[in-house]
Amino acid sequence: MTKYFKLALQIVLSYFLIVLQFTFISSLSAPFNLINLPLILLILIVILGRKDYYLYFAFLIGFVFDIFSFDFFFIYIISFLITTISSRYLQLRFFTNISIYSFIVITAFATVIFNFSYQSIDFIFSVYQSSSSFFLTEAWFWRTLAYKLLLHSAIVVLLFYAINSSSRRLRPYLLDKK
Amino acid sequence: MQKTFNKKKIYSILLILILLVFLYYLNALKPLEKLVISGINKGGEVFYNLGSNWGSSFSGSEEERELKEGKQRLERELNEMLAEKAKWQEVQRENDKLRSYLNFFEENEYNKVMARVVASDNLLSEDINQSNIYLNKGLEDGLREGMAVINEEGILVGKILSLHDNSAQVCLSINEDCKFAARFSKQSEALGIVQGSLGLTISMNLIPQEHDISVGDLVVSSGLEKDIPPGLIVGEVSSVTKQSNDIWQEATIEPLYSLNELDFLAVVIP
Repeated sequence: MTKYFKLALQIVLSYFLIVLQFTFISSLSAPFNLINLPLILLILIVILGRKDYYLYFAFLIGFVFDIFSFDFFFIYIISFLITTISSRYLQLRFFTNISIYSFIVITAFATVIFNFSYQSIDFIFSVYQSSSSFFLTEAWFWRTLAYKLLLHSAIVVLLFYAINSSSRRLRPYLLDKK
Repeated sequence: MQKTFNKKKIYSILLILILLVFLYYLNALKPLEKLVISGINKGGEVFYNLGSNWGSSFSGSEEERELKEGKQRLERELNEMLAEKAKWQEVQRENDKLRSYLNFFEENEYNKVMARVVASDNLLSEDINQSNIYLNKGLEDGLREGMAVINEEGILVGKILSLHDNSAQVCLSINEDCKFAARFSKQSEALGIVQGSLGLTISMNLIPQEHDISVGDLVVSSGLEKDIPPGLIVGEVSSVTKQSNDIWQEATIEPLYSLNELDFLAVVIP
């Protein structure tokens, strides 16, 4: 029962985060409006969450995004799934230690993958529109990606220290030689 | 070797995704959609203003802020007067027509649907030329694609791009993809298409050279678009590019609204 209550609470909190993203973060002045809180949450779940939690949350968050947005339905679900699966792969293969550096690298990687996957899907499905231009040749894409990398990394560093000070989860296990 | 992924789970998620896409396009997810959007709309009522006010309060000292507020107030008053002026010019033009078409003209009273801005589109459309805003009213409130969205001073802010049952996506007039049929308030025959430019201003191209356009002239909607009534202020001419060897001239138009102050808007129902 507690397990399901915990899960329900996590879902409600994720939804609240999405509401905050759409309403509060989007109304902030640039570049702070580029912060993607749900993506940061997903990165934390990828690194710290249970086995496949990240898949469910990526799906759930993507679904809510798709419902509210006016883009093609499924674009966010796919983008979040690609991002979390590839981040998880990166973590399991190369960054099994939970250090601040692995946090930063996985965050940066996820930010890049998310932007690329979203923009690629959007480009493929809007290629028939005369106004669509290839995002890789656009200055705004690279500029905002740089801002996002900086902002997301800074937030993740803060979160790392916040989690570290309140829980033992991120501390390394050291064997004392007696 | 460690098993990296549970392929079965990934496949089942993909299957659910395909099913959801079908259900979405069959409108079977409407109740869920309504629930999700109403939550975001409610959140928007609380947080959207908070964010935009917070953003603007960071700029400058107390004195600077007071000066800025004073300037904004004066600008608002000026805009109201300009709106009034445009309204009278429109009335005058209509009265001229009235003389010609006796008993024909009846002044139009447009219905409006008030809506709150609950979100803006800079999460992924980082391209400033494509920034949109979202309203908490939609199809169920009688809105249609292409309808004009105005602010409290009657200034045209944008038009509706697409709709859900309870929300609407509005492209701002400074958005490059947002185009309006417009004309100059003083010269009703000087028609053209206005289009957002760089997410900052509006430009009006292909204006024949014979029209005498000057800085400060008001640009209003021409009424040639089905759902946008005539006489709504688009902006004020801030510069004119005119060369003697060209057939056309070009005007840069300053929008008369501030992005930070877009919280309550009205959708004009013609």
